[in-house]
Amino acid sequence: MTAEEDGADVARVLAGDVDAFEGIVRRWQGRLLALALRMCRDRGRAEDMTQEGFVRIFRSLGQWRGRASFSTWLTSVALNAFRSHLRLRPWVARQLELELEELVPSPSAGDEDPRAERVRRAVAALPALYRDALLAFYFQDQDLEQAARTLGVPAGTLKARLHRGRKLVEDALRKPR
Amino acid sequence: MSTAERLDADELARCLAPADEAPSAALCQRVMAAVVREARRPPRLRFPWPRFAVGLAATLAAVLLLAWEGRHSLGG
Repeated sequence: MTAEEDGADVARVLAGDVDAFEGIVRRWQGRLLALALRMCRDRGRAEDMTQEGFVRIFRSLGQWRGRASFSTWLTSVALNAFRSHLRLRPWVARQLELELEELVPSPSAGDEDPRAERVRRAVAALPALYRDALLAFYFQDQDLEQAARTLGVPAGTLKARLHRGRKLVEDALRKPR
Repeated sequence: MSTAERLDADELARCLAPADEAPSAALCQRVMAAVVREARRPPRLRFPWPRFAVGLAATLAAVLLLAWEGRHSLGG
């Protein structure tokens, strides 16, 4: 059981056994990498973000009280670490990345449904406000309250951002490739 | 708008649902190296708010006392 394994590993890490964190990394690295890739569409950078996310999770482990499920808590901490990472990057670099996306195939372009890939690219290219709203909501099982808590905004604000974000994605899909 | 351009909530949910991506072989090792470095770092020093508060209170008390004494010595 993953939840039980997570709980046991967290207890061991909090008791001072740093190596026990490896179990958490092995179970969750694929999930966090997928989330990072949805935010930046650059595998190398997504792996750097995943690493930063895990370090943030390790530092914050004592704050997980078990009220939220471990997966929800972990996603929320990682999402905020990824947002900080992207906020600190200069705007020009981000623009260059978006231009490069047009030239270089995306990390998973070969084995994915092209339509889904277009949708994900459109989401990654959204202004951070809307991109984060969509990812927090859909990556956390469409739990509006939880996603709002993750982003630190009222549920009503998140609803408005989701609505606008969906509209922007639709507009992007309408543009000729 | 054609159906190909329309994006319904279900499709967006499918495209953005939680998923796993295959990490590179070295990612776990890299992460653990960073975590071990983090664990070895000395804890960050916190600002000593209790001491600061005591010091501030003592300074304020001294200033008030001096002001009170000054007023009395001038008055006397």
